[in-house]
Amino acid sequence: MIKWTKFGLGGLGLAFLIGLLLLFSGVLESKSRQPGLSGNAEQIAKARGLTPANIEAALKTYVPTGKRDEYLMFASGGHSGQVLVIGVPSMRLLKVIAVFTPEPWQGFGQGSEESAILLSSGNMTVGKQRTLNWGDTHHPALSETNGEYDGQFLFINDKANARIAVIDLRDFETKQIVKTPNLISNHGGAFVTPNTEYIISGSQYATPLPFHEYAPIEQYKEKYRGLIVFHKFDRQKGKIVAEGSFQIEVPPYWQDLCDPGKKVSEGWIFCNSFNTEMATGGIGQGKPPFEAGASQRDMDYLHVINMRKAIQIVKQGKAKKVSGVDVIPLDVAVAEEILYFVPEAKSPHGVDVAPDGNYIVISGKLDTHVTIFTFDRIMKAIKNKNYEGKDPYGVPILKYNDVVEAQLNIGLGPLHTQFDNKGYAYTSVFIESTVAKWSLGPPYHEGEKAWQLIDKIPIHYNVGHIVCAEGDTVTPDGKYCVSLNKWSIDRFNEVGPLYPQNFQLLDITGNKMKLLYDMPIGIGEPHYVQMIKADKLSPWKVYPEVGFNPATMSKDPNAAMLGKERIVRNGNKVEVWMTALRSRFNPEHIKVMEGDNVVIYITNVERARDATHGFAISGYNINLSLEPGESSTVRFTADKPGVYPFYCTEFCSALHLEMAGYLFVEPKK
Amino acid sequence: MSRASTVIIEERPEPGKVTEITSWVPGPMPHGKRRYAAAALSLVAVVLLMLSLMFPYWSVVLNAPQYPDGLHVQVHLTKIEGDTFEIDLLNHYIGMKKLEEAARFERSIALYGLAFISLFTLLFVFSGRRWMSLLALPALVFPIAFIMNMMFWLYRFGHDLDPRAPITFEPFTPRLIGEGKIGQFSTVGSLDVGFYLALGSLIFVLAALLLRFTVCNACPYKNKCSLACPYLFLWPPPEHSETAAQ
Repeated sequence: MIKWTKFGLGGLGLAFLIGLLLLFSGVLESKSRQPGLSGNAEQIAKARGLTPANIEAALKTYVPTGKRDEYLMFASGGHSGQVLVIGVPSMRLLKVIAVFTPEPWQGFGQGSEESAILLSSGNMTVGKQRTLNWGDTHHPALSETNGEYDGQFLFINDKANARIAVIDLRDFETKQIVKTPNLISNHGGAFVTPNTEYIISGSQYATPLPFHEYAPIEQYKEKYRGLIVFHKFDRQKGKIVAEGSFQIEVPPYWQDLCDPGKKVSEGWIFCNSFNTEMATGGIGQGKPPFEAGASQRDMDYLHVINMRKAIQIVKQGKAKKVSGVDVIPLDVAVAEEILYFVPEAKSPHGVDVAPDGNYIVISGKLDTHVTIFTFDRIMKAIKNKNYEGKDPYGVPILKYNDVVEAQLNIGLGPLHTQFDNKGYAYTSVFIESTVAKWSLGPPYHEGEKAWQLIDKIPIHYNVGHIVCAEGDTVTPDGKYCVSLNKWSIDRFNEVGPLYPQNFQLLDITGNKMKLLYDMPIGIGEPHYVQMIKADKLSPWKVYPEVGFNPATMSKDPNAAMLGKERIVRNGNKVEVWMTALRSRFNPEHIKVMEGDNVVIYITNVERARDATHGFAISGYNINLSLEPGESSTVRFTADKPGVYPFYCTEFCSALHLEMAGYLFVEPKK
Repeated sequence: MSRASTVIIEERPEPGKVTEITSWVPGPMPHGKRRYAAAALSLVAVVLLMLSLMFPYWSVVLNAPQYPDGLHVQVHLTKIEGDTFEIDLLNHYIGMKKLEEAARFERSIALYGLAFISLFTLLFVFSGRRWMSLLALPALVFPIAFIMNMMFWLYRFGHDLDPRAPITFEPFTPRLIGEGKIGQFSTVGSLDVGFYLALGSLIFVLAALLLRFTVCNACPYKNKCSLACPYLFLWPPPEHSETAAQ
């Protein structure tokens, strides 16, 4: 008995000791885990002259190797005609998607027949046929389901030629380019309806309708018109379809950005305009230049369009066909009451519908205010037919005071607005080079807290659009905004007189905005950007089947397959079924006669991630990119005699240089 | 259980005469139950063997920096599955044969072989003659034979390299079990579920064999039996009850 007690006491003592030790070690551990920098890091920060704010920014943006970014941005590449894919918060460039411009790395328009067909499908339908090989991409639009990004498709406009492209986000490649009939420039696009039924774009510079019918500038008011275009999107096909697409004729004010309504305002479209003066320029003829002529009036017109009713009108056959497309004439639009104007601060850029669909924020570029209309007030004014008057074309103009909800002085040159998840709006302020954060009204903020300027942050410099995480959807995420600056001036190492643009990442988690990171864009001039949660995307790692044709998004029955490689001559047509596999092409010898028509069906039969092969023929201006599984076609006339090596342009393997062959072109006798 | 024990049988072949049976399996256990148990064990062994067809016997993972998820191959009795396309592609650089060419004959007869092993395993329980226990031998030898065959093919694949291959490689034998190194790849070979099922089958056959010995040793009619035991499921046999009744 005594023995046991002794042992018990001893055990208790031991347990106490162990406990004490644990406690002590716990204290030690928690001390070592206290936030702060190790001696080494402090030295580095000191040596590099980093402030505590710099260090915080670095910690918030650094993404270690192997880790992924939380968001992806799809940025227009401006007049590079491309789309940039950028990770946030690391601001790393992940990809440049070729859209309107040939791009040799992706083999886009550089020898693959499929991409050549795609590029030329957006050609002008009038005059001499030539491939348009550049575009001015402005406003990317991610496909939406119930007003949320769904990560399936991306649409982007080409302002220069009024085209819309469709990019499939399974392989991040362009699938369709549509030349909008009747229209020659479209700035206000692409924008999608909350379920991606329509892709909307507004014209920019008014022209005769259609643009290819000549009319002198003296007939501007009579003959020149703008258009609001509704491209019908078929999600199953992944294509814009002619069936169901239509256009609405609008006065020759220069239409600008649009935003489709959402939630309460779904079914309505809002588009800005400028040059309601209908200035026609002519600086050489002693007339005021456009910049002055188009800025005389204090107000321009917000176009309010009843899309649902417009669809009905087209169905009722009240549209007329122009270039084979249903166009609702301006007088019909007025008579059927589908078009209204609301006076807005002059030279506006952004018209942005808040997440609830009720607030409509207008940024007048030459003003110091953002103006907020409400959809409810607009509807009430339309119902009461309480108009201020009509424009020269008979379009009813609602009374500004009837529809305005608030006006906020946020600084000179408001341009574009995005939203967060806490009821705040973020507006880029161009002339002042700042971003302004301000509070929305009820139900987001009540009483004195509503419509308040909260914070402003300087940016560098000349901010155009602004993007926040999912900031134009029905449920913005907050967290980050990116100021899309036109000028960088002194921000980066100098690289000659053509300066990169500057994307500045802002942390918007706190009450005050914080600048985190500058990313130079040395590829083009991005305009608008959309930022999507990365986990909403599920792109393919390799093409789903060997012999897959990305143009049709299906397996090509004629694709070259492993073991079925062959060369078939038929008259002067030589067809080659070729496979590419580390580290060889099969066949390696192609013998043709000068003048033969050569067709090479080539398949990368690899299944490993990243095992891409290139296929270039020297002297023949051909370079393809063949991603694992991809099948493509090369068609050319062997018009240059001689011996031409072909080789793999991707460093695919240790024997990459050996991955080559010869094209022998025997001269004609 | 290694300890020998003595069992007295309840049914006596001739009145007044007691037969002592020596068995490795202890406990008083009537003849009938032992017989049924032996049959049941061999049946389980056959079921395990058949189940093993559905699982890989051997698998290997090849790890290299370019393959963060590794390359995986599963060798079944009848087929080779997994990232064989990629591995063949890599192997062609060192002139190794395609995986599909490995053990073609063995894989083609595997199904029949397994059917025969199963048949023999069932037969030996029903047989009366002691030598017929040899029928259990294929089931006992099979897992060992698999390993030896596997090693043979691993050796052959590592040694029978095409001399015209782009990269000249010293002949080698990939490891059957555990980690090996080939070029930039570290390989981890391991016996898989199918093999362990076959091993389980072996243990059941062994148990059935032992039980069968004790039964036949003690059988009062062991002189009467021929190729097949006439009393397997009819214990006690009718004649025995008659003699017992006398």
